[in-house]
Amino acid sequence: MNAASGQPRLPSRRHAAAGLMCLAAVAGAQEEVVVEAVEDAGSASERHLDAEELRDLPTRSADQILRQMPGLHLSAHGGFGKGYQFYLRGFDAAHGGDIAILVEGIPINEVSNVHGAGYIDLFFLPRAVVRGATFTPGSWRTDVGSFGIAGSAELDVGRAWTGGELGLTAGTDASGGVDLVWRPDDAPEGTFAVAEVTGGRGVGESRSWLQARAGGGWQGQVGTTDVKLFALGYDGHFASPGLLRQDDLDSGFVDFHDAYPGSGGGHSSRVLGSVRLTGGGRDATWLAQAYGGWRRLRLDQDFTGYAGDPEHGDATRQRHETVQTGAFTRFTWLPARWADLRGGASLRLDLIDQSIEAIDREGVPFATPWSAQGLQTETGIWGEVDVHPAAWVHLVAGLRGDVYQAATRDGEVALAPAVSPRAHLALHPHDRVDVFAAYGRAHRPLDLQTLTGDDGHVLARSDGVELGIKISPTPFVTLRAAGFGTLVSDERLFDHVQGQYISQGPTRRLGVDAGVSLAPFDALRVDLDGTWTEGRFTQTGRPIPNAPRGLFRATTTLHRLPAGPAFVSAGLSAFLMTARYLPGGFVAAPTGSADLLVAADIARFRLQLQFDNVLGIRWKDNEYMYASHWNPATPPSSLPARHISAGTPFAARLTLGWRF
Amino acid sequence: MTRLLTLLPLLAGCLDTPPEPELLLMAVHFYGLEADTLTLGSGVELHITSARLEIDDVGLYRNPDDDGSWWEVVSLANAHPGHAHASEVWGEFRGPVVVDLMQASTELGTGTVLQGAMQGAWIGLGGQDDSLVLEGVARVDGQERGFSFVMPVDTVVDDLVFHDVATVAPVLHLGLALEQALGFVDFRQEPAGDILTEEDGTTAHALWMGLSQPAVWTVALRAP
Repeated sequence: MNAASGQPRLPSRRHAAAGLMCLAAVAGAQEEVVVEAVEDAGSASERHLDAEELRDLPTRSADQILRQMPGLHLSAHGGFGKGYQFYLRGFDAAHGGDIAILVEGIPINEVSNVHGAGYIDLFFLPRAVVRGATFTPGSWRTDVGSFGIAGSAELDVGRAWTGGELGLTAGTDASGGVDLVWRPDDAPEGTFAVAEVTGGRGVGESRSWLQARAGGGWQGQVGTTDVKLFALGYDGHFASPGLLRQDDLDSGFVDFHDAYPGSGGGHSSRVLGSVRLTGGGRDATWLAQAYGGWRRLRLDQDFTGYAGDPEHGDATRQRHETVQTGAFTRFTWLPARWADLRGGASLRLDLIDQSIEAIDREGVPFATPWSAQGLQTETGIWGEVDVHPAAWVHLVAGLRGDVYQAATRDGEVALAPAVSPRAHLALHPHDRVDVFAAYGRAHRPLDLQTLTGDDGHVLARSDGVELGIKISPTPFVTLRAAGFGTLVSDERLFDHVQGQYISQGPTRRLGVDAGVSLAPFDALRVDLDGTWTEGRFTQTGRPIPNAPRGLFRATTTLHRLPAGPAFVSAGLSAFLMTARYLPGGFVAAPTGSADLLVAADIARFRLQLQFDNVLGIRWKDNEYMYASHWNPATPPSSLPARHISAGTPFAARLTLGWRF
Repeated sequence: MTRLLTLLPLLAGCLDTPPEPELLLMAVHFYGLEADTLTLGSGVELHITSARLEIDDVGLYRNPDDDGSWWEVVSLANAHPGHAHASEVWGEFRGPVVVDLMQASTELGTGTVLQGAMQGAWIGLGGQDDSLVLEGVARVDGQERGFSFVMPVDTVVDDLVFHDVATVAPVLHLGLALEQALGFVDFRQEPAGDILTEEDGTTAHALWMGLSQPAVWTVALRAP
């Protein structure tokens, strides 16, 4: 149930004041939960999950929380510790290029990451201190800046429950872990300490990992100002199974969960700290936040074997190191009963040092085809007016301006301004009906690796619209549907061989996103979501490859159902993806999988069993067509061959938790 | 239950399963000299006694603008191949194989090609010291001079265009207009085929220059 309202855990349909804090007791629990009420959804597809729902979901990392965004699919091909690959509403967002991720308001996408623009790595974030998540498909949120082309998500940092909790985990994938989290009694959710260590061999070859993350936060009042600060640190090593050729699988040269020698791995580290000040009164609130951190990523990878370099092999080592700092401010002013004004400004600086090295089979570099050092800044300012002349209508019209700047040490400089109008309309004509309309323009930011190209200073622009409706025929059922469309002015690909952008021409994506949320009783919530997208190049009509066309997801959470002396919780997360286009007219087969979590809380103890791929299906996480050569017994070929990344194998992990 | 769930992806796949390009076997024929005597544009008459050329490999590619195979919609990602395009090569014959140019027609072997319309091709020529052997007698202004070219070629002749964008057929025809390639050689000089200097200052053997010209090569895809 929604702890704040006592109602079944369906999305709120009532407008609530932002920043309102409320306190509620969880049925059957001694802890208190602080829930920050969120503004009403601005679209039919927007979704918010609170800490209780997140706790019940079968996730292994904070990244996997993002799977709850309607229309979003996460793909993993790099081992447990490498960033995921994102597909959202017809976009192949690669490692985050078209989806903006914010953690407590801090932009997490890594500009100019050497592995992929907007690289998202949330392994630094302990799940135990994610107290809420808001998923927003589309680009209509005025406060979201770069990378918010296809959608955005914001994760809130804090501990929802007071007291401490120690967890010990062991799994059939030869894994183990210890996690400890603590929030003092009577302290707000921003005060916490957390530490986690996890490691394992994994199922199959080259799937081991070892990660440690820790951090703490403090929240309190200084005068009339609420102060919230936190710091998080992470260090993780991981092996990467990479991809396998389908014909090598068919011939028995490799098995489904094997890896080619030298498939790679990585080392990821991050430190992030933040100070947030909030204040204000009845008619105006303000927020000012500064953050800073250090980030380092090293990836060893080889996806093509000996196709390019028969002597040394094709392995590369990518290094990326960033010092990121920034600040932003937001304000809300209520000048009249029928209008709110909101606005903000932001500045982000990234000092970047990156390289790509060719390495031999012993991991020794023998060439450096790419290296760069540079500084990127993003400066943004935005404002919006929320007009609500009647209780049943909200019209929000906003405008944001951004200036993207990038400069390399070699003297290449680019400066690109962008203006992005955004708006959304929420109508509440009936107690059980909400109607939404939204529009947003967004831009892809600059990238250090593009500055040498003729068109590298030009920002690609997207315009997205969405029309949706949400109906609750009964208090326990909510139906939602939205049609969406996105026009991209010019799809551009940076060809790092030629060192220039390749113009693709305009594209359009049209789709439907629909779902049903069921809460037949307080403890149970069922979400069934389906998204269908058709993406085409406008001029040729040919399909946009890679991104899923049909994506269906079922999420079920059962929260603290009394069963004798225990409270039983469970979470099921399953998806089904239809066949989709690959480059060159090839097709990826449909795929799907399901994860399950079952937990029992007895007094101060929690017994939790989590299953990856609970059905034990050999599913293909992803498919790619390209040339490679791994098997020396077969002749080399430059023809495209099917490669697959094996989906997560079956594994069960048992966690024993103790609350104190 | 498990079986039922495993059927779901199959059902989803039935919604739409566009056909994929098929991989076909492709016979590769080389068309050499129709006669052992050639008359060059300069009036020089050549009697060829020996002509061999090593071909490393042949590649066929499609028009990226036609089928969208080349680029796709991603932001910059050095993540792994397969995002941007499946391959630049859609048909191939892998050597090396030594072609006797004195034969009017030679079957080089079998290659593979993906179904679809081809735009062009490239030919990789061998880098061995004797990748090209061309010997004979030149009649220059009434005088006969023997000539012998034995050299590595080691180049890729690119931009060979199928004049009619061809729907893939199982037979690839390669042809070399040797008299055009030999037209770069000044047989009036002694010795013939000296080094040429290009505008940018690079130097190359005249015959190498001739063989590197796409215009001296022909490619065609035909029904068997």
